[in-house]
Amino acid sequence: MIEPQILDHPKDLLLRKERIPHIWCPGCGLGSVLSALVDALKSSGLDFKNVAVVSGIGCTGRAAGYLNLDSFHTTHGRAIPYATGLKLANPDLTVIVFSGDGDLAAIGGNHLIHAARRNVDIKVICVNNFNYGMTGGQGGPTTPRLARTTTTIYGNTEKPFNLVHLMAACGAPYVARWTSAHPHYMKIAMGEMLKKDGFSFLEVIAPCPTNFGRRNKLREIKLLQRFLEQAILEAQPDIAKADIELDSPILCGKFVDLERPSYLAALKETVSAKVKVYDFRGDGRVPLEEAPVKPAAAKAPGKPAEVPSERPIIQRPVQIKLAGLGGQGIGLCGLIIGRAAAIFDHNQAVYTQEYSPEARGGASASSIIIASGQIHTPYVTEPDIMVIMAQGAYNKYQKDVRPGSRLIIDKDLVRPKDLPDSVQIQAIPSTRLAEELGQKVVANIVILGFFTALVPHISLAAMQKALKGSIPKGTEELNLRAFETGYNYGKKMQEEEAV
Amino acid sequence: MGKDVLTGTYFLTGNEACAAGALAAGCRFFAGYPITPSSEIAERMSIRLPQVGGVYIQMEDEIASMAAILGASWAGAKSMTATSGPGISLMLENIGLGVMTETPCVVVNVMRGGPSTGLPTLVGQADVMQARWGSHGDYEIIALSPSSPQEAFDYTIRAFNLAETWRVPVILLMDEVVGHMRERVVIPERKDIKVANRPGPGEPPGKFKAFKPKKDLIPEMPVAGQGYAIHVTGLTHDERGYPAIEWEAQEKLVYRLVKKIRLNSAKIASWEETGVEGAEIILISYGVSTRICRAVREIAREKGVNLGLFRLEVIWPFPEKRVQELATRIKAFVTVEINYGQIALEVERCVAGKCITQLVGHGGGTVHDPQKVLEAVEEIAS
Repeated sequence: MIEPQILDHPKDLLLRKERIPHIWCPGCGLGSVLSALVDALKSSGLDFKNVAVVSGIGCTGRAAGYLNLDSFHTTHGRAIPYATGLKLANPDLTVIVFSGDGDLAAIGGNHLIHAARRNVDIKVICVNNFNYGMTGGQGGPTTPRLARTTTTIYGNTEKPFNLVHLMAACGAPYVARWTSAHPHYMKIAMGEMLKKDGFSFLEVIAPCPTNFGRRNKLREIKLLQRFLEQAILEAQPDIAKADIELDSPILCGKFVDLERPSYLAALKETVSAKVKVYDFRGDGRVPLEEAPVKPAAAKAPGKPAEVPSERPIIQRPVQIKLAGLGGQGIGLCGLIIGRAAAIFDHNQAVYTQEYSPEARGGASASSIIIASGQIHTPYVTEPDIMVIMAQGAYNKYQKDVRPGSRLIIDKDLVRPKDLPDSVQIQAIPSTRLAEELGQKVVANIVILGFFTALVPHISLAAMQKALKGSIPKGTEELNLRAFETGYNYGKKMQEEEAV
Repeated sequence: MGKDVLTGTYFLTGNEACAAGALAAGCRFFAGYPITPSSEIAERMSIRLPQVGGVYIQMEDEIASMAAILGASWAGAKSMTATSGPGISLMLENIGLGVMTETPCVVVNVMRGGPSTGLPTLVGQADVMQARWGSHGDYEIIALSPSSPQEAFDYTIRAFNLAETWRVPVILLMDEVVGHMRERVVIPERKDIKVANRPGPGEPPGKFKAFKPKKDLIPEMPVAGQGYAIHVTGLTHDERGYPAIEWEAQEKLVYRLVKKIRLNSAKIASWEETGVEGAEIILISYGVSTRICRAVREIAREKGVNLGLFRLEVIWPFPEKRVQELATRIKAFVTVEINYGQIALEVERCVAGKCITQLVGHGGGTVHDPQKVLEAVEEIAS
């Protein structure tokens, strides 16, 4: 007697045997699609360790769980962005998305078109069974017109997606369609996809006898039979004729196969090549040795940097508000004042900016609070000093000018009116002076120099250091001259006032 | 390759500091979608990540962003996204997936005024309960709240370390003020920054079960490409990761997901007490509102009122034991937050009538007026 021998099934290697039998109904096309994928993987020569499969939700979504690969069963519609993260974080992975038409084309439709557009390196297998099978056979974005489902019992009124056409329009470099009755062609297409860089898309039309077939007089094998008999297999099918009607033949074949730089290739070319040197323009980094405090984490005993001898001691927080029109560089002024105080004068400074919905042109303001001790409340509520560079800004912020406060303005651009007598107005033709220096854009730096000469709360040395660290390379000379011009104007004015 | 830690002293916004913190913590993947007031984080990451060998991608929406960072995490990268309230509303679906599949990642919410589009450029603190239970189903999560740009840097690192240690999405609840304000930020040297990494698999493929709890109820985490043929699903699953649609599996899994945070809350919860000993009234606050409370304390001290401050560094899990304990010794807890009572409810629950609880709420758009807070305090004190 011959002993029966139990051999491994040739596909066992790639299946989680302990999870079989699967949940799919008799007559369902999903088994054939999964089987074709296993065959394609086996012939691919890929190291399976580096193959990952991602599914969404639904009958097809269960496929990930049956493959003996790194497999991810995600949320409804989100397989593609999840797969995008996997692939980009580890480009060595071959990432396959295996999901259904409702999952990929309805709830996940936005992800589908954008993944194709950006040509992200994933392989998408979309099994289209014309309806939502797992939830009981409702209609969806691929349900043919007039087809009956549990939610289109009078016949579907909507036009379905022509998915291959959609994908081609989005720029997918590989697009094919087969039915589950064509395992051989499916396998060939999948094999090509596994070799293809960039985004590839395969639509597989598959029967759902339990739900779709039952309600459309296409029970069990009849639907599959129809695919076999009615499919038009073409070497170069016309994608515009690939619409699917309930009774029409189904155009199959490879619609698109072209070369286009994949997302990862483009990233390498356009980004990686340029990032070697990135100058943090205006980042104002200062070495720790020169900084007022050591980070709490630092164990190194190193002495804290010496407190500068000219450090202004500010007992009560000083509130400063700067206002101008967008583009005048008022924000940069605030930034430099903040850096000077917080880093080089070893004081505390808080800087905030008022945002308005206009991207450019509206009056805007930035505020700084300076103190030698802790600053708690971040907002300037009662400015001690205001700097205003334009009439539009004056009109908007005049309400904030308090009795007894200091108001620094551009002499030519701001006409102050309706102010309490106690306001100390100090004016400089900053824009005119900047023009004389050859560049109107440095008017903000001129007024900053003027501010430094008059306001005792920030040391000159700190301001000069902060200025140098906050301006683009190559503009130092002009900016320093602008600063000096404003500073000298202020000092001269003070001297004259003293006389 | 560029440096991931650019040591030095800066004058940074909270958003910029957050991005710097993420890189220092080892973040190498960012997926996001522009939204005020968080966009500067994405902008900074788009510049910096390619310099350190990481990937930045702008997705088609926040749903995709959240899905992408989960995928990246399972590919072995520390990953992050940043958004504001409306974006969080979209991300909650996949935050739930992250919780269920125990996926380490960091989600930054720079809170603005809501509901709906609300106040895009102005502050709010009303997403606190959303952070806790916004996704469907029962779970526990970790959320932190920085009150300054320096803390934005420090807490982003903490957030990554907590996510990696406890294998859960960690939410950094910043607010618009902290995100946009500039202050001195010190970035220490690389060697002085503590970084935690997820526990890797201790057994070879075959025997190993990817969702079997180990130390502190946390499973060891293999990633894609290591040969473990892992299965990761949002369905209720067994220790192998396979779907198990039955109540016993549900109890085992979901109870562990809840317990791994609750039972370890002493290791996770974090708060700061100032002048609490001997205080009759304690202010309780977080984020930018903490700063206002500090100002209130200073004014109160001048007036001779002894006021304590209990400031939440980690909001979730909530330090319930400590709040319970303090409630037996004081006259009142006054919660100061930019919403109409979210943490205040948590305080009330913990206090359970043992002392007075009072909310000083605010609709958002700006911070509290310290005088208003003081008035509430004085009313209780008198």
